[in-house]
Amino acid sequence: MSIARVPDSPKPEDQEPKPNAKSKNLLHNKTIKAILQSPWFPGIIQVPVLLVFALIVFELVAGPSDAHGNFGTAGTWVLWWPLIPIILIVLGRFWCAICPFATVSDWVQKWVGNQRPVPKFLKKYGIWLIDIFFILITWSDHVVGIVENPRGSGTLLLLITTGVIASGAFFERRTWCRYLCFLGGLSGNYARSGGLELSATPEKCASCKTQSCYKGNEKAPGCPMFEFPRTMDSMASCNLCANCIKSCPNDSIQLHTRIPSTGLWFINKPKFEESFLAIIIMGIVFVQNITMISIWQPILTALQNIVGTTNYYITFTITFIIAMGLPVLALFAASWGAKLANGKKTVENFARFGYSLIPLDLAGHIAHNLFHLLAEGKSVYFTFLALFGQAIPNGSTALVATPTIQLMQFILIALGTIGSGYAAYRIAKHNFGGEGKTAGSFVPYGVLIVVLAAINVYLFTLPMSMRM
Amino acid sequence: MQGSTRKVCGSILLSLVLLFNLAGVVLADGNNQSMPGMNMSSSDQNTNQNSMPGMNMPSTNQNSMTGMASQSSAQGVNWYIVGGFILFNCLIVISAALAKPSAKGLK
Ligand code: SF4
Ligand code: SF4
Repeated sequence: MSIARVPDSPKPEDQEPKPNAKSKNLLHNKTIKAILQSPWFPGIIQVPVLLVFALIVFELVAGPSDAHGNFGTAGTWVLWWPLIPIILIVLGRFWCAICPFATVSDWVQKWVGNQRPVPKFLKKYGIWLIDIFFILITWSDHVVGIVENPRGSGTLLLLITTGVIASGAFFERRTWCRYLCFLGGLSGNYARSGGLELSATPEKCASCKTQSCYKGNEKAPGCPMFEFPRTMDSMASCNLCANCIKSCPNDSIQLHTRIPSTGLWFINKPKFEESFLAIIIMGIVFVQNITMISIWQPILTALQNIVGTTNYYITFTITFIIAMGLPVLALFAASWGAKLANGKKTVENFARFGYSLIPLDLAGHIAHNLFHLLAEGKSVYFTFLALFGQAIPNGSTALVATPTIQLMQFILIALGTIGSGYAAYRIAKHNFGGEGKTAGSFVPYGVLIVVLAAINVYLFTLPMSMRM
Repeated sequence: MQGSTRKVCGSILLSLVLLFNLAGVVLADGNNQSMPGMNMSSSDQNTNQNSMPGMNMPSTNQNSMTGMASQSSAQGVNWYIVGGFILFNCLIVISAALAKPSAKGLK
């Protein structure tokens, strides 16, 4: 592996006071530490995940063409996709440590990797590319058919596999995961507010000469995600692979639990494109909800009458642009409102406060997918049986009754609203409290969050169609 | 291999990845068996209950699997796409190995 320059230490003014006293260091627990320091971790989980992934891809490209009978569709969209945001909030970006795409990339890299440095272009515009991929994939899901068409899902997974193979073959570390993967972008955004935090002990790192966590040593390779634990200020990229726990000669790494969303309160260098992704995810959840509920057909018919065509590409694209564009415009409007109070530029406020929407994003995303997981959960088992030629049992695919799912959805939205509202308040207090501009900066975002929550609640009151 | 040759080789390959991916999507589209929303007037649209978003509202949310064929046929497999992906990925790996003569696997 080429030894890249260790990232610069942050300037003193960038150093943030951490939110509150940290919980107990989980690495003081011998069992947890032994597991994370084991050479088998995380490989022992990666291999079975890769095998299941291979089966799923095979099913998607060569199994039944009908989503109802395809284990790949059930495994991907009823089980894995709904579980991902839940894993992210509990364990941060740990999925990325065991992700089959990343495993393929690692193996290709070990075998033939050229270990080239990441192109500057990717470092600069990677997040924008992720934003664009995310938007394009959601759009193509609706016009070409990805989720509900096993062949479409299979093609998407093969496309991603091609990308990770190319990335592992030519570039160093996990270039794909850090700079190109749309799922990584989503995971990074959610993991910021996740319940785990890995950090280094400043006093120990201050005298460190080896910087093995970044460069690697005989115990473990350097951080695959290009992170330097000593200066890492968010969990957006750390996938908890534990390489740094193994390689640090000074036992500097700490692992703490934290209340989800606290990681959003003190972002050192807010980035417009990351906040943009946060609000885009809100739009994507709206699109997914709207197109699966009973009001979609009347909306589509009305739109067809207005634009004078029944072409789905056109009508869906218009709906898509509106559903994605309105939340972005609303965030701009709130940022402009905050500008009146705090005097910062609208885009600066956009970048700074956009992160506060992540808890509501997460809640909406989990709530939407909870329906698929709980109302269609048995289809995973049924389609698994079908793999072995077993007859599929007649009966409901639901694990839980609809009213229970709806109740859980509303509770999630309420928690997301509280998390987002409080994050916006803390961001306002941290940045503008000293000037007495907390309330003026917070109120526009508070209003926006309540409006977005109300839209979510309304959408979840309507019956939703199934994926399978 | 010279640095510049590697650069050219890498750029060509990456462009090919993009082109190929694009072609893959187009081919997959042409091969699509159920395009959501695209077959609004098709008489057999309800054979795939999920092909039209918003049209199969579950009345009780008890999505019965009754009648689901347990041995659904594997129609619409586009082996050109699958084979193309495999071949292309092999090409990437071989090129990377050639661009790095010291690579372990392929010297
Ligand atoms: S985490 Fe360990 S290896 Fe990395 S800088 Fe600190 S002391 Fe050095
Ligand atoms: S910071 Fe440590 S645990 Fe996180 S990705 Fe890097 S090496 Fe792995």
